[in-house]
Amino acid sequence: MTQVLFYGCLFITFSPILAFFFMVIAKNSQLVILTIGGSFFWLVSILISAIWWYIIPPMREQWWFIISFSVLFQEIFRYIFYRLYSYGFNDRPSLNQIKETRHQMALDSMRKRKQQNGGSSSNEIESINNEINNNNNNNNNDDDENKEITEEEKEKIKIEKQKQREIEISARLETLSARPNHTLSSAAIGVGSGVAYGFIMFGSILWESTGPGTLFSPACPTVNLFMLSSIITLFMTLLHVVYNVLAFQGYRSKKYHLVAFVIITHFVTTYLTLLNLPTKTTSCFGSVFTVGVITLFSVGFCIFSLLKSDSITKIH
Amino acid sequence: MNENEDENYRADEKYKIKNEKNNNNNNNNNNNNNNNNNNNNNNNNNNNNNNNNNNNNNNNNNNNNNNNNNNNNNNNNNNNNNNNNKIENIDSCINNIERTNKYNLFKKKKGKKNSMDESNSSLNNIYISSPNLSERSDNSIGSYCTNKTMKSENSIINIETLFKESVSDDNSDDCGSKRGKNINDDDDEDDEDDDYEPDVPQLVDYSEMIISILYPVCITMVIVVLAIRAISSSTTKNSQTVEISNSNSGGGGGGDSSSGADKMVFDSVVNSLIFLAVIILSTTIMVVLYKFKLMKALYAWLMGTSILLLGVFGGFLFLILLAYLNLGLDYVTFVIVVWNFSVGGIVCIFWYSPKLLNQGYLISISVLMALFFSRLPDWTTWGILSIVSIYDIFAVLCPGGPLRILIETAQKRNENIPAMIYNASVYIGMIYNEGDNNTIDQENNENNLNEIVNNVSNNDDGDVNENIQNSEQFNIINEVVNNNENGAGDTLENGSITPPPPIPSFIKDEKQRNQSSGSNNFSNFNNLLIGDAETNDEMVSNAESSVDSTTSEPYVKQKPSIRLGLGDFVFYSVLIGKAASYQITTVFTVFIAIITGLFLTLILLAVFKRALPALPMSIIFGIIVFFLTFKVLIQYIYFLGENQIFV
Repeated sequence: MTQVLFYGCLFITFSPILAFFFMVIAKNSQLVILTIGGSFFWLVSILISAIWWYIIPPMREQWWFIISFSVLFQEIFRYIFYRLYSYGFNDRPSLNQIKETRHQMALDSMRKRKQQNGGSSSNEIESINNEINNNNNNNNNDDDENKEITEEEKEKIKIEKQKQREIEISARLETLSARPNHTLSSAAIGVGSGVAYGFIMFGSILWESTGPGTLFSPACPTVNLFMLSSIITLFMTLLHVVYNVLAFQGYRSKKYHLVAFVIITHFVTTYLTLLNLPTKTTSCFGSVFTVGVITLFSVGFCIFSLLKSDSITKIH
Repeated sequence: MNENEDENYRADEKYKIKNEKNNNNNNNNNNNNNNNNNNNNNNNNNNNNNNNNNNNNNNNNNNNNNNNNNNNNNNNNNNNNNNNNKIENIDSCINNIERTNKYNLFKKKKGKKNSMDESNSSLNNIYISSPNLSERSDNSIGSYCTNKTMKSENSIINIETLFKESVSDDNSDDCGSKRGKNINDDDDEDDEDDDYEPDVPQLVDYSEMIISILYPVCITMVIVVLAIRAISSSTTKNSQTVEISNSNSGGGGGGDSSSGADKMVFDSVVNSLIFLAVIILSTTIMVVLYKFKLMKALYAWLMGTSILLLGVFGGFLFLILLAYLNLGLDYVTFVIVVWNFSVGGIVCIFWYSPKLLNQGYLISISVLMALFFSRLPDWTTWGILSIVSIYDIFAVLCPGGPLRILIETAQKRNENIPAMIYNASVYIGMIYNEGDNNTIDQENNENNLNEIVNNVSNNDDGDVNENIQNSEQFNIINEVVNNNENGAGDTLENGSITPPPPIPSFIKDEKQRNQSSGSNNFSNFNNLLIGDAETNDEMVSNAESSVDSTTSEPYVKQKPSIRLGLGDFVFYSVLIGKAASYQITTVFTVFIAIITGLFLTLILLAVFKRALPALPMSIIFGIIVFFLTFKVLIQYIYFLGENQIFV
């Protein structure tokens, strides 16, 4: 029975983030390195907050003190890691620039060749131009086509559009998995810190669930403590990814309201878990439900802000 | 804010340099500039529109795009007069590009995927052959990205082309002289200059190498942790202490296990010093044997120790495993299994085997050693770890250090280091040698073929070979189209033939050994080597030997790979095994610390380009993190976890 509990809690907690790690992050080695870096920085932050907790004995029971300082340390180390990351990566070329130079050079050479051969290969060049236009200026083409559509050709164009879209999407997905664009690499760092969070903060607790007995939550005596912890840890790991993506985006593009959102959400979720404490008025339902709602909302907000800033579709 | 501006400024500078080059190309084709600029402007306008939607998002990129525009507009007027040399170089390469691009686009029309790789390599060649190249890594990333966008299927090929790029960079002299084609004298000089430059391996392929060394380390650690938890759950601590005292007396110096802090400190110091003495002794013997070319004795010694290790420790672990699983086995079967295991290990490590099996045996050796060491008492383990990691610094970095002597001797002789070293070139090395079918001898072929069999399916094989052939010939050749088909066919044929088994290296005479191992190893800056087995641990990169090897053996191809000595595996695993005997949290924290230390060391390896000790950073990180976790963090975690506070 305890084995069942152990594996159930393990999979509840770690399956989403590990799936994300193995399906997306592990395909690219740079992202893996960033993941390790993120987990190391999170580890350093939690070690420092533990030392801070340890060296001030009178404040060990004061929750506001513990929580606020540990969240503060985590955010500070996130910023430090952002500085390191931007030092390493911000002055590298983005994909569009590379593409431009590349196509430009291809075009140059082709045109030169055309010049030499006296236009013998003009058909090729036209087709190449078309291809390049299709690759690069998909948006423009789509717009133009929308204007020029006659009703008879609609179906053909629709099919073409779908194909183009598929190609485009697959190309984007490939590039997403190919190169650490800023969004994906910040997500990788977030995954690193989230996995480290899960394994370090929850792993030791989870390890106890294999033991001879089980524990029940002090706030709600009918709910298993490990089960409750695993669900909250699941939310927390997802939230770590979201925090990191949002905070990096905020730092990078100087939209500091995103950073403020991250810090406030971090504080709020952490303080909400105080509801698990065995006092009179609290119950674990409040903490789990609210943290879940906040997680869903912040995931949605993250995706929304990414789409709004075009960070996903524009592969920079 | 200031720093951000600085970054932007730096980035702009880089792009200016790059754009100048691009504009040189443009100036060669003055008639076409209008069209290009139109294209460019279209793209940039798109980007700018997007960026305006984003308000401030992606400031850097925005600025860079603007710079592209500016440079395109401004530099077109100036560049004709600037660098004639550059233009010449680029002219020569542009001929290549044209042909391959034509070919590419033909193939692209047909829907074949591989063709774009060639043009990537062509771009890289252009960048590389121009002398004022600002940052190589940019190019590599670019080629990688474009590769990825163009190609869908396997990342292996992309990696290959990256390495191919460095091959073409460094060996274009050789290829040019050999095949006698195309590349100008200017280009040759520039390439040589590139050779002499301290050239950091590019980030993308270097990260692939790092990851390829990460896998075996992780596997070793996981196996050790599982085994230690299984053993410690099956045996009691009393039996452990009994065995420890036995091993201490066997080692020659240990005392009785009595209480007292001073006794403990004394014991641990004495034990670790004895351990260090044993290590120094064995290293010295090995260096002396190697220095005076007593190769048979050296290999006999290595094989004897490894067969003892595999047999005795493997048998011991097998017994424990049987006891843990509560299985019965008769002695005859046991002896046969252990004997076959150990002899198979010898064959796989020192002679000829599939790559996977070889690596599996190397991992199993390090697991066995680590399991043995992790049965030592705690403070002895910490003492051994710290002393060995300190010794490691001296042994690798000091001028008289034994490992350094070993490495330098091996570099002089252009050989492999005769020890058990995990070669991380899982499919990276294969790529190289597959491309160099003309120049390498059969031994390499075999390894590579085995790797191919293990790693790549047959269809991919064809693609791989074709690509490599293409990009290699591309350096040299005018007739790309014809040779592509031929080359692909040739390599495919080679790929299907299984080669004859090689002679074991210690039986060969000097020349053969030099040839075979020299082509394996030690030829260029990309060939990074970390560590050495029996004697523990160091990293070697052979930047120094690149000059020698390229001059002495012109057809040697470098194989970019990171090599990690088995000693590093062993001590990492000892540390994490020690952590595993306490708590599960310490395992995670120490794991993260060790891997981070390894990454930092590898990054330093890329910076310093010389042999580096792999142990100190990881071990120091690991020990610090272990004690912090064990003393402080676990209390904190339990305090939070019991109250269900999630920070």
